[in-house]
Amino acid sequence: MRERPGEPLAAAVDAGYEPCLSCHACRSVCPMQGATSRLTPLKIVRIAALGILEPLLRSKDIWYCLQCNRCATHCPAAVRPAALIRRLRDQAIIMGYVDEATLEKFELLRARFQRARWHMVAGLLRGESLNASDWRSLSEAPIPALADAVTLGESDGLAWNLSSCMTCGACTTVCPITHDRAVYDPVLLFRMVNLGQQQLLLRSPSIWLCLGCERCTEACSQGIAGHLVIRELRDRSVAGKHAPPDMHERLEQIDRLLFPAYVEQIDRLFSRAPGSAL
Amino acid sequence: MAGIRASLDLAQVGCEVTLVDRAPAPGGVVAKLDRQFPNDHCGMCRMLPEVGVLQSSRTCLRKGLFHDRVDVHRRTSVVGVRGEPGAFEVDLAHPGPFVDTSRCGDCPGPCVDVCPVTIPEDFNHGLTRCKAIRRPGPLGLADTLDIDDAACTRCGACVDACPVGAIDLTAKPSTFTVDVDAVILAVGTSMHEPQGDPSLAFLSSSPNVMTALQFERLLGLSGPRRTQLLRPSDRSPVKHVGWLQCVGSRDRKHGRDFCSSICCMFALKQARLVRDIEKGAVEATIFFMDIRGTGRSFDDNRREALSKGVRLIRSRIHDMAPTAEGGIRIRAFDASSGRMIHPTVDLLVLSTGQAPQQGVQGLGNLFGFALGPDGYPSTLPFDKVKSPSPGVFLCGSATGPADISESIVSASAAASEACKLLMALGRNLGTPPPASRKGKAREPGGLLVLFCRCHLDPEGRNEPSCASQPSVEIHTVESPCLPSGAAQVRTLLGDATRDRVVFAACRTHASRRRLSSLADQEGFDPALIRVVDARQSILPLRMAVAELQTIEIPRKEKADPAPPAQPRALVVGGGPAGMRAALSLAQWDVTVDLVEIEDELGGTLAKHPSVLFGKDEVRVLVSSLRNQITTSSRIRVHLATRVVSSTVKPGGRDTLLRTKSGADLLVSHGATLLTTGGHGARTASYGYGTCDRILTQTEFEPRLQEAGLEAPHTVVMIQCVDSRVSDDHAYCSRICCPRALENAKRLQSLYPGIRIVVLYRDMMACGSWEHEYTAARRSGVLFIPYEVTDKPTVLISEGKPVVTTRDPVLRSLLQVKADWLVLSTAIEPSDSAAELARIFGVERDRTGFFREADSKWRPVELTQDGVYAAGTGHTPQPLREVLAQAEAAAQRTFEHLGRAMVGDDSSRIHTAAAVHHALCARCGQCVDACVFHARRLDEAGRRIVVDPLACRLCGACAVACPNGAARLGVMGERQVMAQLDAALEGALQASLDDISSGWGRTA
Repeated sequence: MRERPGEPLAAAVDAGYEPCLSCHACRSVCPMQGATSRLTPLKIVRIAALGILEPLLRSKDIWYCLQCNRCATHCPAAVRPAALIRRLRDQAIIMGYVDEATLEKFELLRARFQRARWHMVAGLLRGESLNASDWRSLSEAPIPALADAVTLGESDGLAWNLSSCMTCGACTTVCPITHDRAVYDPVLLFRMVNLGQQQLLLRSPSIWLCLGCERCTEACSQGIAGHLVIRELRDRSVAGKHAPPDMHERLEQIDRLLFPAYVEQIDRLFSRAPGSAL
Repeated sequence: MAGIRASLDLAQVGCEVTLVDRAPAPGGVVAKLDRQFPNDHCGMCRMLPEVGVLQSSRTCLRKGLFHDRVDVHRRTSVVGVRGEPGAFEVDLAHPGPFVDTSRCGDCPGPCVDVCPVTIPEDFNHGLTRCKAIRRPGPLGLADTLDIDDAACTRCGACVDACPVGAIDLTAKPSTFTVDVDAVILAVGTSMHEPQGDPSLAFLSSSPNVMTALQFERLLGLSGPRRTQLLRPSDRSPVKHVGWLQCVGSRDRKHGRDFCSSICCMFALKQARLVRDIEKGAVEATIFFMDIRGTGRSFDDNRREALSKGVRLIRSRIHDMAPTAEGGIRIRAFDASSGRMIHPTVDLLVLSTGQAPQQGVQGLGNLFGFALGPDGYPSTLPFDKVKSPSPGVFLCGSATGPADISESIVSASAAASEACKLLMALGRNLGTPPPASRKGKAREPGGLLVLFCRCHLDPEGRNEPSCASQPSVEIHTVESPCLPSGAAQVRTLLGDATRDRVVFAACRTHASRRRLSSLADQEGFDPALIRVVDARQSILPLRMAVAELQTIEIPRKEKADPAPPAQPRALVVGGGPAGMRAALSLAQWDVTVDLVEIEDELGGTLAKHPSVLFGKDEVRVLVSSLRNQITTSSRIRVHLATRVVSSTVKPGGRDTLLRTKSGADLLVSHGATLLTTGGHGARTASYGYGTCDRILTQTEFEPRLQEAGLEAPHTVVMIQCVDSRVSDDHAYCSRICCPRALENAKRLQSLYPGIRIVVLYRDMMACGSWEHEYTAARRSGVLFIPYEVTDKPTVLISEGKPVVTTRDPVLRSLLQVKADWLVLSTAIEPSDSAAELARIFGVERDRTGFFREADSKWRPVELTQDGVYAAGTGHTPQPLREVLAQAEAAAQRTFEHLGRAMVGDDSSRIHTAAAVHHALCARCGQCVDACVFHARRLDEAGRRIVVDPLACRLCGACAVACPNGAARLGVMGERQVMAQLDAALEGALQASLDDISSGWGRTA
C-alpha cells in the first residue's frame, strides 16, 4: 500500500473539507480546544485545504483529537474535520511517520485516559471533590463489574427503538472511547437496556463518558440511534437523582482537569516526530 | 447454472431448447468457483446426462455446453415478448456477431496475440488483464472466442490475423425472434458491489481488499494465483486473511434486510482452503454475526473449518485502518478478554451478498411479474418456480438467494412445470424413439474412415496413407461441421458398405454427438462409431482403427433380453411431496403406485399443519392434492400399506407391498421415488418430561393454534435442542428457527405484551426469513445466543421452569422465569427410512437421511440408479422447498422412465458389459465389484445378468472376475491392447510420416 499514498487523503477530500467558511464553529465546540487550547480543527482544515500535507502528517496536533466529532456536527458547511483528522492519522501511519510501537502506546494511553475519566465521574457521582493530580493511579485503578447474575427485568428497549439490536457489536468497533468493556462499551449498555437492567446503568459512570460522536448510530445496520439512548439514560439518571443536575458543567470541569494531563502524555509520546510544532 | 440444468432436463425429455445468456459464456457465478464444499472439486459435469456414455459429449461444462437439442445464444438478451403459453414470440437482441462461431475453431488464436487493447478480465473480476478479444473464461474452448464490444477499437488487427476470416467487426447489432411454448427465467444473481459503501472508507480503493468472488478466483486452480498466496499491493506473502461477513446483507438501514444465505458457507470454505493451501502458515479469521448454513451437511463445513484452525469472531466490523507495512488494521472486540484488539490482516475478503439480478425489473415488465420487497420476483406461494403469468417460470437464484443444490432443484422443478405445460398443449414429449435405421446389410469387419479436411487448415492435409489397408475405406470430407459438409457425410454414410466408422475430426467435444448421431441415423451400431481428434496427431485415428478392427459382433445371447421398462413409478410416502410428485408423473401419462403407511394421505403436515406454513393454506393445499389424486385415473393409492421387499429386474423392479390386514400385492415399476417424511425428535434435555410446562415445538403448536394457553407472561424457546452436536443430530434442521419466529409472532398477536425469549446458537433466518427475524426483534422478542459448551440450565420452581443462561454481551448469568419452555428439537427422518434404504439398496448418511448421488449437482437422485427422493425424508426443509423438490424428483423420474422406455434393444447390446456364461462360475464377485449395482444373480440363481441401463462400462467387473467371464463388449482387453499396439507401433512411423508429409503439428 506504500506506493499508493494518496488514497486516504483522496477519501478525505470526498469527506468535503474544501468548502470550509472559516466560521470557527469547530474551534468553539472542540472540547480539547476548550480545555487545553491545543487543538484547533479549523487550523487543520485550513492547512489541508492549502495542500500543505507533509507538516500536518508529522504534527502532534492530529493525535490530540478525541474523535468526538463535535466539530463536524456543528459545521454549517458540512465539513467533517474529525474524519479528516482520522484520515491524516491513517496516512501518517502508511507513510511510516508513526511506528507500530508508538501506535500501541497511543492506544494504551487512550484506554488509560478513559479509565481515568471513569474514575473521575465515579468520584463525582459519589460527591467527592475533583482532583487530577493522581492521573496515574486513576488510570490504572480497577473497575468493578456491572453485574454478576441478573434476573430478566422489564425492558424499555421497545420504547427506545432499541429492541432490534442483534448485538453484532458494530457500535463497539467504531466507538472512539471503547477500549475496555468495563469502562465503556456501547453494545453492552444497549444490551443492559434490552435485558431490563437500565436501573443499574443509571448509577453507572459509563453513561457519562459518551462523547456524543454518533458513530455508533452511523454504523448500526438496524438504524438504532445509539447516541440518543445514552442521552435518554443520562436524562433519567439526573431525573432519578443518581447524578447532580449540573452534571454537564461538572463534566467540563473534569475535562479541564484531565485533558492537560492527557495532552502532556501525547506530547511525550509523539515528541520524536520531527516538525511536530505547527 | 440453473439455466443449464433446466435446459438439459428439457432436452433429455425431447424438447428443443433455446438457451439465451447475456454473458459471453453460460455458467454464471458458479463457473468461477473452482472448488465447492464438501469435496473441494468443481463437479459441475455431474449434472450431465449419464445416458449414452459412448456417444454423448460428456465434456467439462465450464468448457461449454454441447447438446443436440440445446441451441446456445451467447451475449444475447431478451428485448420483447408477445403471445401466450404455447405461442410465445420472444425477441432477442445480439450486439453484433463479431466472431462467426461456426468458422472460428481450434486454433492458437493469432487474433488474441495481435489485439492491442488490454482490459481488466471480467472472469477474474479485474485481478488479471486480458485482450479485447479473448476467451470468456480460462477453461472455455477456442470456439467461444469473444470480443468485448465496448473495449474494441475496431482497429482490425484481429480480422487480418484470423486464418479463416471468422471475424467481422462491422457486424451490426441484430434482433431476431424465436417461437417458444414456455419461458424459463434463470437469470441468476448479481453480487452486491461494495464500492461507495461509506463504512469501508479508504478500503474500497485498496488492492488488498477483495470481494469473496475475487478471492475465489485467487484461490482457484484456474485463477491467477501461481504460487503461494501473495498480497496484491506488494507481492509479499500473505500471513493473515480476514473475512467480513454480511457486506451488503442483513442491513436494514440500507434497505437490504435479507440474508444472502450462501456467504457464511463460502467464507468457511475459503478460510479452510487458505489453511490447507498454505499448510496452516496463514491465519484465517472470519468476523461474523451468525454462521448460517442450513441443511444436512453444512454444519460439517463449520466443524471442518474450526478443526483446521480457522478463527471465528462474532462481531460486525466497521473500523479499519491501513498500516505502514501495507496490511489492514481491524478494530475488533475480544469477548474473552473484554478489551479491544487490533488484529492486522494482509488480505481482507468482503463477503458481499447476493442481490437481485440487474434488469430483473425490465424482465418483470416484459413477462408480467412483480418484484417483492427485496427486489426479487414474487412467485406463487406453493409453487416456488411459477410466476403469476402462465407459461413463465423462474428458477435458481433469480427468485431469491439460493445455493447450488437449491438452484439445481428449482431448475428441475421449472423444467417439470414447463413439461407439464407442453403436455397440456399436446406436444410430444419423452425421449424421441431412435430414428428408423436403414436395415442395410453391411460387410462385417469393414471399416470406413471419414477424414475431415477443414476450413481451419486451408493448406490441407493428406489422407493418412499409413491407415490404408484393404479393409479400410477412406474418404475426405470438406468441413463436416458446416452444413454443406454434413450433407456429404450423410451421403457417404448412406452409401457405405462397411459396418463401422471412424470420424477423424477436430473439436470432438462439440462434434462427437453430431457426427455419431448422423452415423446412428444411417444404421451404424453406436458401439462401432468412433469420433477422434486428428488435428494434433494421427495416433488417435490409428488407435481407433485398430480398436474397431478387433471388435467382433458377438453371437446373440438368448437369455439377456432388456425388455423396455414400464412407464410406471412407485412413490413411497403420501405426504405433500409424494402427492405432488405422483400428480406430476400422472400428468405425463406415467402410472403411479402411491404407498402410504397411514390410513390417509397427507403425511405429518395434514395432522399438524404447522403455524409456519399458514394453517388454513396448508389444509387447502392438502385437501386439493388429495382430491386430485383420488380423481386421477393413473394413480393407484395404497393406504395402510408398507413396502416389504423389492427385486431388481432389467428395466425396473418388482416390489412387494403388504397392507395392514396382511394382503400382498406385487407391483412392477421402472422408477422409485421415496417421499417418506420426518418428525420432531424426542428429547430428555432441559428438564423435558419433568414438568408439564416444558414442551417441544411440535407439542406447543396445537395449543398455540387453539389459543389454549391462559395468558402467559413469559415464554422461553430454546433452539438447537440436541441439534448440531457432533454425536447426535449433527445437522441443522433448518425449519426450527423460522418456526420459532413464526410461533413468536403468533404468540404476540394472541397475547399482546407477552415476553418471549429465544435462546439460540445461530439464528438461521436465511434469505427473506431475515425480515421475520428483524420484525420479531423490533416487536420486542428477545434473542440471546448461547454456546454449546455453556448451555442454558433449567430448574423447576413453583411448577414453572426457570431458565438460566449466560448472555454473551453481559458475560453474566441471566435468569428468566417462564410460563412455558418450548424446545426446538431436531427433525428426524421417519422410522421407515432405514428399512426402505435396505429394501431399495440406497444409502443413508450418518444423519439418517437418504444420501444423494451428489449433494450439490444431483440432489434428488439417490445412490441407486432409478431411485429418487424428495421431501423431509431427504432433508428437513420448508413446505415450499418440499414441493419444489417433489417437482424436481418427478422430472428426474420421468427422464429415467423415458430412457428406460426406449430401452436398449438387444441387438445393440455392446455398450454394456456382458457375461460369458460358459466361463462364469457364479461366484458373485462381479456383483460386489459393480458400484452401479448393474449386476445381479437372476431369480433362479442360475446366471449373472447385467442391467444395460445401469452399466457404465467402468470395467470393475472385468477386473474382479477370476475367470475372464465379465466381458466389456467394446472396451475389453483386446481392444485396449490393440490400441496400445497401434500407438506404440505407430509412434515411430507417424513421426517419420510427419517429417515427410508435414502433417500434424505434434506427433
